[in-house]
Amino acid sequence: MFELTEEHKILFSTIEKFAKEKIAPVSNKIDEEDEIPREIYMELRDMGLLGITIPQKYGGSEFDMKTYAGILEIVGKYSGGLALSLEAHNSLGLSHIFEFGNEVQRERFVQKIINSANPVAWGLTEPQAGSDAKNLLTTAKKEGKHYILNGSKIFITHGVLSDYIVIIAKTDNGITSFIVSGDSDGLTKSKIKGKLGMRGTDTAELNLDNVPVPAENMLGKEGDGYRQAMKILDGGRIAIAAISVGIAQAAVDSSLKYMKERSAFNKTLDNFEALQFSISELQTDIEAGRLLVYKAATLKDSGDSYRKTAAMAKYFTSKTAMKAADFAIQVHGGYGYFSEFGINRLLRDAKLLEIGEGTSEIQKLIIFRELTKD
Amino acid sequence: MVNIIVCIKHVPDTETRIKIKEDKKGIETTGIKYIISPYDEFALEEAIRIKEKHGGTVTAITMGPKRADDILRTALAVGADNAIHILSENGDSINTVMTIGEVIKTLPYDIILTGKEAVDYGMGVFPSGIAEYLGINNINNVTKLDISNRSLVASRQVEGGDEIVEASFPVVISAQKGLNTPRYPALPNIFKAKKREVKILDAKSISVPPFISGGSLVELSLPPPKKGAKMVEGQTPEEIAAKLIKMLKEEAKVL
Repeated sequence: MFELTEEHKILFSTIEKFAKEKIAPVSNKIDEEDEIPREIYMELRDMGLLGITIPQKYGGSEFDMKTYAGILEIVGKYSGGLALSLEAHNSLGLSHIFEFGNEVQRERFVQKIINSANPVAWGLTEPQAGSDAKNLLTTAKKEGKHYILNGSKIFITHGVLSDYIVIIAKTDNGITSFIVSGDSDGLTKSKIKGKLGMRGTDTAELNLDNVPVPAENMLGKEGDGYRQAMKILDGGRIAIAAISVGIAQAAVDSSLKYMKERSAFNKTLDNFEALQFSISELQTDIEAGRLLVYKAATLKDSGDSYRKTAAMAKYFTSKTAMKAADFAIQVHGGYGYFSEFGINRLLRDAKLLEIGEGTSEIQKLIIFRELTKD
Repeated sequence: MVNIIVCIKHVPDTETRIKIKEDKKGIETTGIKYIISPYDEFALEEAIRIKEKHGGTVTAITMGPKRADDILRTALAVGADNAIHILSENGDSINTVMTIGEVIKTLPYDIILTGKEAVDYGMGVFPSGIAEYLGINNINNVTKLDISNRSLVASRQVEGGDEIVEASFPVVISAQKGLNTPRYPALPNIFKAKKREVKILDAKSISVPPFISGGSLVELSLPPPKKGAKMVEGQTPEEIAAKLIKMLKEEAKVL
């Protein structure tokens, strides 16, 4: 079930090479400056990473979820911020337009977004409502051939950069989603400063003040938005879990490397049993988590229900990433606490994984509901 | 239209921790990741750029065991048109030159591109060897290449500078670092490449003239571990400089 094919091996080693040569040299800079260099998006586009699961007919790479998860794990090892950007673009905004868009919308937006190398945004969260998505306050009122949107959105990945934003709002018949142009009248976008980790990805606050959106930009029917958003989040969780595995693996790899080099009391750190045990425990958790990610991805690929497994994967791997990053700082001591080695970034990045796209508590709620439903 | 042949070799990843086998005649290959030899990667990229600019076909050739198939797939994914795999478990430089030479003789070719050396054994015999075997022009260590009208002008690195050399087709060019920056394949092309045909030939079925190998491998050994750097300490630059000169004279004996 989890055997890699020859082409997957070549594909993953190509990504690893790209990550080593192009991402690793700038990953600290991405964190410090809280910005991803534009050239990186262009290279990601040229390699086919800005439409990973989208069919080739629409300009995508047409990879399955398992391949996508493997790609995100590798990118996550080198830069959490960049991996999160790829995730938000592919799993949230682009997937929403592709999965719930009609043929006209797919033709009109999907290839254009991929080619532009400008990541797309997805706007669900509001100041007063995150996972409690039925409590949204943003409204969309139909007026002639348009819907008029009012309200505000917060913590929106790619909110400033994107040419298009999927906005989820309340309409007369429930919750509905729309493709909103980034340069719409009445839309104000501002970058949110002071982010702990996952820096580089543009995180924004959006204010919608009588923003007119053409009715043909509605995704699906009025009232479909809640179900759509929950489905998109299910898929996103697999991707977040894949990034978690990558960050955890980076923490263990760098710790092990440092343990072999650093001496204390006349022997290198890898001779200390307490540290050996920690490495063994963490690597076991990583490999168990990776299997959960692959299981959820395989279920999604085969069209089976994956909500519970995706929630489990995200809950378990994000916790593992936190544990592994915490250990990495501890083992690196002062060198871990400071930024230069990129170790403290792992912990700061990992924390987002327990919060974004549903906190760990929400994951546990989902798991319980799935276990007890008839 | 330029017919280009690129000769590439699969070698252990340069980050591999090499372990020598007990008989000291080879290295442990289990767990080793193989890559296209970096100089061959420059050659491959240059071939594709020439094709994109001037038209033509790129044929990638490798000689090696079954696992070398990977690098041909990568070559196809970045833009090679054809791929030939000469299956062989081992072969010394001369044998490799002659076997690949025999295969190239059956193909149309204007430019043969390859790396200046493979990063495994680093013999550097192949580029000039293949030119000699085919009796054609050869420019090595090339860092810049311009093609025009069935000939080319190449810059090659020589001690202390560059030499500009002109040659007519057919010609063997060996690539040095700096020739170009190799591209990454678009990932969907890796999957497409897997479905494309790689022509497989058995080295044993290719007859080469009788030859006496120039040498045989006696023993492999790892380089001695590097000694750490020595810091010259002192209060003033003058004092440090004086100490350094003393060390260079007395310890390193280079002055």
